[in-house]
Amino acid sequence: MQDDSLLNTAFIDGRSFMFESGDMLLGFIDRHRGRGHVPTLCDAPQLKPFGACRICSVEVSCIIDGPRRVVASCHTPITSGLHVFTESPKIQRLRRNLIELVLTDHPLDCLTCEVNGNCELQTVAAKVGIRDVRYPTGESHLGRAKDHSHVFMTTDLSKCINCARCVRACDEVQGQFVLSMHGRGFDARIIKGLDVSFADSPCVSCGACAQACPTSAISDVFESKAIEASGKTRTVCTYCGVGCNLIVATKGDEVLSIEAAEDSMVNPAHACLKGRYAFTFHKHPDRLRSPLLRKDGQLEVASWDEAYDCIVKNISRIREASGARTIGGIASSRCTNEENYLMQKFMRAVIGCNNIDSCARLCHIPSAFGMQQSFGTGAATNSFEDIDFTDCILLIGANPTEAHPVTGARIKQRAIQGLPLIVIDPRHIELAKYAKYHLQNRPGTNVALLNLMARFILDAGLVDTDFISRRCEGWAEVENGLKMLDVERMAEITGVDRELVKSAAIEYASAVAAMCFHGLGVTEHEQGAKSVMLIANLVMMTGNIGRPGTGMNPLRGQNNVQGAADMGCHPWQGPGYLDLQNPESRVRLEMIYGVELDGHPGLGLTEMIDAAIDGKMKALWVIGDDLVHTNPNSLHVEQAMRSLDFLVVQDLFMTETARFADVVLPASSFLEKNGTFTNAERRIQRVHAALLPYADSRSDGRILCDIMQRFGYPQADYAAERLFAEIANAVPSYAGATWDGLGDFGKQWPIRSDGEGTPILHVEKFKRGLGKFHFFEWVESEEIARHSEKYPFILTTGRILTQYNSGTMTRREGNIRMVNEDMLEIHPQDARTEGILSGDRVRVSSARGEIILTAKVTDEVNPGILFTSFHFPELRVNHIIGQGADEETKCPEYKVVAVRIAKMETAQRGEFSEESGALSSS
Amino acid sequence: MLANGRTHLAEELRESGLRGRGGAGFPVYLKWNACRMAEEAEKYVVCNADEGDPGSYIDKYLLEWRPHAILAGMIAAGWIAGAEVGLVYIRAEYPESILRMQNAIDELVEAGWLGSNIHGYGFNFTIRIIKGAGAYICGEETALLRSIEGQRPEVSVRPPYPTVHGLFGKPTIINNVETFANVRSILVLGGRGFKSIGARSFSGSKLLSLDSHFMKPGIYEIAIGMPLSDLVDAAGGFRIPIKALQIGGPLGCVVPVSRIDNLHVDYDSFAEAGFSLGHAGIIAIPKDFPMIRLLEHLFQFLANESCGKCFPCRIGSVRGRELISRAIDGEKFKVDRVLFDDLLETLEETSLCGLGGGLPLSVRNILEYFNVELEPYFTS
Repeated sequence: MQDDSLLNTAFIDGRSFMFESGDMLLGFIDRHRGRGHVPTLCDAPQLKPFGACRICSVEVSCIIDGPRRVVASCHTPITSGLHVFTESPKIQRLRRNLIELVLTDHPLDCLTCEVNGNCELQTVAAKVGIRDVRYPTGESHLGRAKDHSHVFMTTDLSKCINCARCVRACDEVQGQFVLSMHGRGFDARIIKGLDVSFADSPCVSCGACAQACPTSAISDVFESKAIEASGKTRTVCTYCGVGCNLIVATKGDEVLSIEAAEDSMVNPAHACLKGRYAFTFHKHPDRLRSPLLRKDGQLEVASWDEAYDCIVKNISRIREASGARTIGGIASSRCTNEENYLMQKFMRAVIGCNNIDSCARLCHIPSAFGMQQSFGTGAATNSFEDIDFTDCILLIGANPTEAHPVTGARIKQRAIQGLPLIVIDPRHIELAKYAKYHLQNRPGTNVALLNLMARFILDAGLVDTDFISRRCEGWAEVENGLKMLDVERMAEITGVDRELVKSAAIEYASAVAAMCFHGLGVTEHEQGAKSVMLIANLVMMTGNIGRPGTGMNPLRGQNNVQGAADMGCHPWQGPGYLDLQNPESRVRLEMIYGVELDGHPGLGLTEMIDAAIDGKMKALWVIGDDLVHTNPNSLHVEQAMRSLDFLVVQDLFMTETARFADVVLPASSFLEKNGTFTNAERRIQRVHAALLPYADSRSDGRILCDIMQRFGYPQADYAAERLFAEIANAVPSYAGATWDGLGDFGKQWPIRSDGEGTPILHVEKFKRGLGKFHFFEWVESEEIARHSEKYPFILTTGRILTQYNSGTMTRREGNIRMVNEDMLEIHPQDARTEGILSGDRVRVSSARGEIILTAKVTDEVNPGILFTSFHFPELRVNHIIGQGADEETKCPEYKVVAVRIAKMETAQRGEFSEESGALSSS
Repeated sequence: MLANGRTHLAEELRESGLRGRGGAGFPVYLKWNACRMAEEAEKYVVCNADEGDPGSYIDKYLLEWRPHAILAGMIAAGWIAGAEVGLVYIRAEYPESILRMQNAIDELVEAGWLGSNIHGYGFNFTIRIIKGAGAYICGEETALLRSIEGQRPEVSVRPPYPTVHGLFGKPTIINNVETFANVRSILVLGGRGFKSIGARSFSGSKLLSLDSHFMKPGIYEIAIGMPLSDLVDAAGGFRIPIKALQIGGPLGCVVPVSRIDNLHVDYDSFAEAGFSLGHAGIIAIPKDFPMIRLLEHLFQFLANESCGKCFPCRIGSVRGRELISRAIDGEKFKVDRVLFDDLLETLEETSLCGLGGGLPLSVRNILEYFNVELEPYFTS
């Protein structure tokens, strides 16, 4: 012990301290003397040592009185017994002289500079004690022009000190390689792309450069580094399921800017253009300011009391007349755990039925269901940090650099460094460029492809039979099924070269630790849940679960999809996925809620819509979900909304669905509420209000508590901490979690007895005991089987980086200036055949109807395949999507639509624009 | 070499005491052995033939007249380290060198000394020439490696050293042309034979290039440790009166004629006397050449050739040149000597590489030995 401590000891200014192997001097000094004790301008915690500024120079000596040598502490490894002198007269002089040199080429306009008070150069200059610049005025770069061309990013390179932090952030954090240093010596300067403006560069606006820049040389339009704010609030992003930790800077009732938390486990110093910059929606003039009540056919401003009275009166009336089961509630994955919990509680304990569902129905319900069948838990088995040490990544039907940008960048970083990456996706997505294998299968053939992979693993003798015999059941059936597989035919169906599939399968199965991520390209199919279970097969047959760097990890599309499911916003699973048809689970919940609960399964979201048309669903309460825009076959949904007797919509903005409502309730945004979100790696994280509720809006949590009280249920007033305690009591996997215990970094459920979270599930055994194998044969989607003759193309849909879902938020941001329509991606070969050029208007028809999109000719899709995003509901992409759905979970088949296309002629274009105008104003 | 095995050759190298000829004098055995011990399948041998010191043409001579010696040294390095690829990085300004080296490579391929399974010893080694990208900084080893990689030739931090994390992140032996050529002497003479030549702590011979101010300019090979005055005598003295020798280029030193008699051509002797031998290209400075102009030139050189990565070199080079130019141009302006010394110390102590760190010695030599001549330009 003592020897070890001597071995790992070095001296800082005469005092001995322990160091860790691999320490550089600067890290060692930072840890013991605090960051900043030794100043630096080019080093940053999220970046590799660079050694440019030399400000961190220290003197070192092997013996205390021995000869000393000056070294830059950021890139000098520490050795045992070394004496480090951080503040010797010589070091102080050198640092002063260095800063003096920097100041000869830096404007001294600190008082009017954007980062005044938060400039690292200013701080270091003050710290080293500069009083004078002795050099006569010489050559300088003070006249460099500013670049304000970009929607979000700005540069003022007269303030640049050439530390290259931005260049390294772009390379090492985001992996976009947009910024670089151009020219040499004194004239070296930062350029964007091939020396173009920020707007013309391939920048993805992640903001990592601006956050890394120590001055205001690179910044953003929100001046994120300014210290004008009077408040800073740590919270969690409201967009995708990565759950980035954000620091919100506020002044009065305004958010000034948002930065990524540097110490976050999820997104160290990183965010994307949505999380970081798309926040001004919160004060957009379109925000709903007060409740609206339908009077004489018109929605009119009303008080909260009037709104609440109207709701209680109508819902009570309907319940009395036609029973509780004619009332439904749709919770929102955008809301907090507390709010989702309250909504299901309201439906179950107050209304008295199980007609509760959430928008997860449209995305990851098949993941939750399928993984429950296989493992017993419908959640990611591992953590994002596992990306840093896995040996292979299998990415299926997900486009994380667009849809989960921070995690996407993390995967990209590993792939750039040579990690074998296998991408299964019909599109040549960005990560496919960095992948070792891209299996570009035809949409709707995942089951065939996954079975093929399993078969090749079996043939190669790479099945982990030991793991299977100890931990799993049902393998024999799968083995038999795989052996019967018609390999040739399956390969032909997928459209992927069988040798490529084989190599990829062997790569995955041979890795010591292989990790799998999947997205909606797996779930939003007729065989969605089946595909999920087949991925689970691959994971189990190779023993890639229960260890670091392995597992199966659904990439959740919304901030709280995981939480909404955990809370029981599901027609038969209550809080904690407990099946309420099971009397034991029901009684447990009845004890907590103090009322008798309905044991009859409720209706799911899509079933509620159908039931409304059939007259069996009379009243619906929809929170944070624009059903008309986001569900397939929009006309069908509109008809359902019209058929309802009573509709309550609770949202930030007036949505298409809200136009049908009898009562519209203005809800608070994530910036205005307290609670928790659970991210895609099961991390329960605290959301803190940075602002008071906008205008007369109320948080969804408060609204639900208010209304429960009005129905006579003894629900206490809304308080996040109190609600979270109730959740920890009701949801078994949240047991042991406390509001305070979540801290800044959150905890991954289940919470262990020592209060810590669980980064990896199924370590010793599966939640369900033995992991269950399933075998399914590939079946052609009904959509293709029925319509492909008339509609020969396959249209598939997905998300793009700049926009988010139906765009209610991102279309009210600068993002709209970057992308303002959904484009139709078409392969050059098809484009040639159809006479289509990029920019042409194209009529896309399916068996349901037709829409018009602008073409983008690209080889990102294969011939015969078309792609479009779905962020601009007025273009009605969902209008042409079919009624097909996952057989097990009813998740709609957004990913496979049989269509035909025709280029619009100029005359037709005019004709149609009137028509589309009429449609979008409806 | 091949028949006796790798270990034998490594031992010979260790015994020879060979030190690098590029200027730093690092023991070659230590470098090669570190690369040899690195556990990676892919390794590289790189020859630094980016000779850029003004007035130096030692490498050019070797490349054009002794190419086989250089290649033999590289093959030996590949053999010892277990590398299969050798690269010669030759500056584009040496077209003749590139041509002659390529001919020599072709000859060795023909003779079975390059290629697969060389002479049946299961040793594969090929050598390719890379044409330099035209900047002095590419002669700095890490910038040179970045240049081969197609990246911006910018100096990288060390550690990790190239021997473990070099070209494309793989273990790499990188040495100067003359160093590789010396290895051939070890192959011929054996380690002990090589060790018997030269000075005790610095064995072998050294090439020097003399400029046209000597009576007999050209390349001279001397045993390390020979008195500098003997060299001057051998070259027949000077054509015109001179006052100093710039030895080893801008990053070497400036030796006033008064000190020539006390110096031996030996790295250690030079260092003890406050000079630096560098790569040992020698330029004589005429008596009537103003030293303030030489100072201005040195800083201009630094400003021109700085890669711009580290702050002291990027900014200090320009500020140093501006101070000197102002003193030359302006009658009233004198360089603040305290400021100037601060600048030199900052460059010397904090620069990332030998460019910013090496220039101040020449400047200090000039300030020390020509203080009277420079008096009008500096505050006291």
